[in-house]
Amino acid sequence: MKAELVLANGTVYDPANGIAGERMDICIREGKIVERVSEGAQRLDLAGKVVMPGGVDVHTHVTGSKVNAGRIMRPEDVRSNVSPRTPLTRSASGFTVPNVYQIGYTYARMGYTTLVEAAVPPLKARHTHEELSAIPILDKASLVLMGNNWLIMKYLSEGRDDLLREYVAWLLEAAKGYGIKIVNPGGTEAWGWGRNVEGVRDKVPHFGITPAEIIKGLLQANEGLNLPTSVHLHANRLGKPGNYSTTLETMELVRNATTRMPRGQVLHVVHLQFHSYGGDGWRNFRSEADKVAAAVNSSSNITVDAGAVVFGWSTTMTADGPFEHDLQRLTHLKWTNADVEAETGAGVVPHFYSMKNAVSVVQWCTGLELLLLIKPDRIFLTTDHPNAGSFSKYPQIIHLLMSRKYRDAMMEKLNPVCKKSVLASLDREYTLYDIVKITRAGTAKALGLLQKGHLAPGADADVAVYDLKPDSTEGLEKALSSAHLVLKDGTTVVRDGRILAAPIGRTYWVKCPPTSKRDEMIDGLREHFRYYTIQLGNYPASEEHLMRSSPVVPEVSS
Amino acid sequence: MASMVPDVTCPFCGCLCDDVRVVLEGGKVKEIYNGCALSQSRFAEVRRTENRNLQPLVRKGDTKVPVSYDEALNRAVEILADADHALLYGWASTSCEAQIAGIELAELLGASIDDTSSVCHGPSTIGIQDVGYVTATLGAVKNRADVVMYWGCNPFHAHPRHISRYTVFPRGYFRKGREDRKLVVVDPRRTSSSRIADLYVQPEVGHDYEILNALRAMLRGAKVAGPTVGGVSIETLQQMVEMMKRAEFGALYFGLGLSMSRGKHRNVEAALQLVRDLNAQAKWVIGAMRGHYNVAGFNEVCAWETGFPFSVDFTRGYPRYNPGETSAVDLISNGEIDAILTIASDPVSNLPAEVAGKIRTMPAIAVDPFKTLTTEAADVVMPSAVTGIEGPGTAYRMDGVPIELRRICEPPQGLLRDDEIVQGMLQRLKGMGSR
Amino acid sequence: MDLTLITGRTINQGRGTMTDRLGGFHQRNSAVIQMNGDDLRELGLDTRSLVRVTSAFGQVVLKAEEAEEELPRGLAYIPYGPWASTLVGSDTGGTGMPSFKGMKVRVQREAAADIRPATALGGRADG
Repeated sequence: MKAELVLANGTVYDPANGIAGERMDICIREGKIVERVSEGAQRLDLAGKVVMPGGVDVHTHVTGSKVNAGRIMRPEDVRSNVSPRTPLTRSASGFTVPNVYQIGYTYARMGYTTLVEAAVPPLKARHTHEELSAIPILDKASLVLMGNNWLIMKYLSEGRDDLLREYVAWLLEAAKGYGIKIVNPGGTEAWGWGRNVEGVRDKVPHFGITPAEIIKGLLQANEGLNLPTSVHLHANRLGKPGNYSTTLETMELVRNATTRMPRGQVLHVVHLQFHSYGGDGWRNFRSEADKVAAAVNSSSNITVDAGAVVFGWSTTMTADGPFEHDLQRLTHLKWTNADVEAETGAGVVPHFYSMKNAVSVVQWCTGLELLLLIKPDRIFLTTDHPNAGSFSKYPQIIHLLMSRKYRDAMMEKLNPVCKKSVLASLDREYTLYDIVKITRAGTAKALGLLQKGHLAPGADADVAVYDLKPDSTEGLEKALSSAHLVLKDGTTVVRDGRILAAPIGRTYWVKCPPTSKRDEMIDGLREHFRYYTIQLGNYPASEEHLMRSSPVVPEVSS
Repeated sequence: MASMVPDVTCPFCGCLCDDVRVVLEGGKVKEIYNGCALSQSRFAEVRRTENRNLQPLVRKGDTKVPVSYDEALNRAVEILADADHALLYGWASTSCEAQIAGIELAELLGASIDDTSSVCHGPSTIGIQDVGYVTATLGAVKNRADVVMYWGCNPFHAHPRHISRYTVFPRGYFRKGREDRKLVVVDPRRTSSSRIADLYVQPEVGHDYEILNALRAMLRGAKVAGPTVGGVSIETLQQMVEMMKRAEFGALYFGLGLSMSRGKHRNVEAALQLVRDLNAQAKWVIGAMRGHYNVAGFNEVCAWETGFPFSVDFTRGYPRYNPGETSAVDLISNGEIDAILTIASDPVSNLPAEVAGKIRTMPAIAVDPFKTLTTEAADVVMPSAVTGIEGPGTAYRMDGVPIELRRICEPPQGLLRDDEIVQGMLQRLKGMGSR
Repeated sequence: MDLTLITGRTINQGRGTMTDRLGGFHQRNSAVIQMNGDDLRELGLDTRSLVRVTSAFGQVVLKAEEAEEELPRGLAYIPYGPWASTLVGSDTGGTGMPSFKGMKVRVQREAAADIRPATALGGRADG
């Protein structure tokens, strides 16, 4: 049966196709946007409503080993936000560490239809996929941690780019991942001995390789494999006063790198807010967002996401194990750590961003400064959920970006250090068009998800409709939290903020064709597996764990 | 015709060793290599049909009569739907797929669900909820550890290959093996594990809390009054502290000696805090010696599905968690449960006799490949294939590494898997309409 | 004699739960109380004598053994199983965990009764 639908008369925002608030119809057939449909198609009149592509979250920690460790460790967060089952929905719980149903329903109510799990340890990838498969509605992809991987460091130090590339391809398939994630390159390996690295030129203990070499080596492999997205990087020295210089140095590493992929960027720097600090201690801690923003704006091949702070409780969780140890020593809150043999690590520590605390307030200013100063094609909206705050608070941040008045009202309630911030001097107010860029059009493009983030024929019919007044921010947060209508592949999943259907979303992953180097790489891998405690044959996650497995096969370069 | 199946995962203890080599003959397990004595028994027992449940049984009058799965499932759902407050218990020795279905079943019924953690490492999880858990996968210990400590556990008996495959004997990337590692065993009994230790410490039963806190105090430079703490001399404690401070990478594994003795979760908290404190000066990790092969898996599944790791009450349609109130032993002994489904466990043998007695007074459904006191007492018995030998599934090792279990031989004629049985109940319940 | 009791795993108890939960192998390996040699001798027992073990929650007849894994005086060890479970109380002190380790028990030589099979245990009203 051909399922045809017309979303009629809505005010459409589709920046990827240059549409900025035009009244037009969107036609859908069998889950895709099409040019036109037949006379008998169902029509939904959306006059007075804003229509945009479904949201695409480029960086969120929602599934897998460390997230679950966060849930287990924080029953107080879980019980803070509980709702019972209904005939159509499962019971939902948790705020910064929500259960799988809360994640799916909350994102869907906000009009998001795709998410990217930010960090997966390959040894535990099947855990990530068991959870991703349980999240209702959204399509997913996941990024595989590689920046502290022993075999990668070995190939880099031996200069074997060919085997490195082959191993990266194999690892992505083994972990059913979509792209390469680097977190504190070399630092989490150093943390295996209780240490860290201090900058991009600092040698990793024993392996002798530098973070700069890890970043450049993986970038080269990424482009050599024609992967749909670029390397995603969590830079060294996260959270440290004065770390902005490391961030600038890191971005400088890729100045001359190029890609032939449609995305354009060769590097995506994640949660930039945490990497944009000046000062040299907590007393003179300050934002250097303007310097970092200038560097991003003057580059031609870097995208970033904000990692903007939301006041209140968060749960920090990252593969940056040593950072979490340092945070715990500062705040003395409970701390979970999980080193992963030969590959990576993780840490989880609850955190409270206080409106009265100067450091929290500087962090809040930093995130907003980055969002207001960096061109909207280059920066995307995230809270590094749940590190800087819950994703459910995106509407609040959008409100702050669109209303100078709201920012000023908020700053009245904060520690007065914000009065001296660059933020206080920024008048810019985001248009809805730019909001759509930073929450879906730009993210989909940077991810190489060509069928997402826009509404031209051929796109997946993932559409979000909001009760928004295009020229006013009145009722904005409620409208964005509780969409008027959300379609996923043409099926209505949300109406007036209520879940009407919970179909199963796809999981995208990259399946690179093996090359002539595959056998040699596998021989080396067999040797290397002496250092694991699981058999090589049992390591790869099977496709059966993925719901609606959707492999993407990159073109092979000659 | 014999054939060898490599890389088989053993479904018994929390080590979840995945290097077992199984020789099949005529489609049946003939022998295994690499597995420990417990593993040998596990693979051998599937052959012995005299100990197995071979068909579903339903109590009619004074006896249990063989019936079809269909009839047994219908009767089971009748019992569960009629109950005011059912308990779905066990789960630790079956697949994640069965656990996922079980949680959905409990939610739909408005029942409680709990696994054997609540009488095993549940207190450890409670400790983690106060302090956190500074841990690592087993391979990190294999590759790096120069000091390995076992506290309140006896790996040679309960996790026989822990020391030999994972922590002390194997060659790691940075370690040669036994010769460049120190092994410390802390146990009130002179166990076989303690006999190969470089340092054996013998505390009195029930004093681990003081000893662990004395170590924490000494670590911070405090002077602890002697001559002993908990039966251990100050000199020995000092020796332990020095060894711990000088470690390049230390690992502390603890067992039920901490979680079951007086103090329970407080003992575990003290151990967790000691390791956390050590990290200011030396790299240390701690690990709980999880008993059953997928008990860690249940906590993972339950946490992502409900938010909470075990002892979940769905009587109000949403998950509630309060061990001591919502845990199996308390629920049953407080008379709050009026029907029970047990799967992959034998509570009538292993829970306190008073609790076992109460289970006997309520309608009970037991799902198990084998005859146990629980299946003998149950009103409905549903036999199942042995997960990991006769049926596939996912399981989580004690350190959180998920490993696949495979089917390597056929179950006895007609037997369903645990997850198929639980799904069978779930689908029938959904068909009955919402409550 | 009053002793402190620990219950726990042994490799043969573990194997018994797999080979023969209702039968002889399991009973031989789990219906036992391991004791310190001097404690045994003080009670006038040889290894494999029968004793009645009583806790605040129940009592059970077991074979006494000298522990190969040496116990200090005053400590006893019973492997998990329905025999051990008769001695464990259901009060969890609000933790969910009953006291499986560290209870006080009284051990006396048993002249009359024999070890009951597993099938007679597990909280049976007639048990």
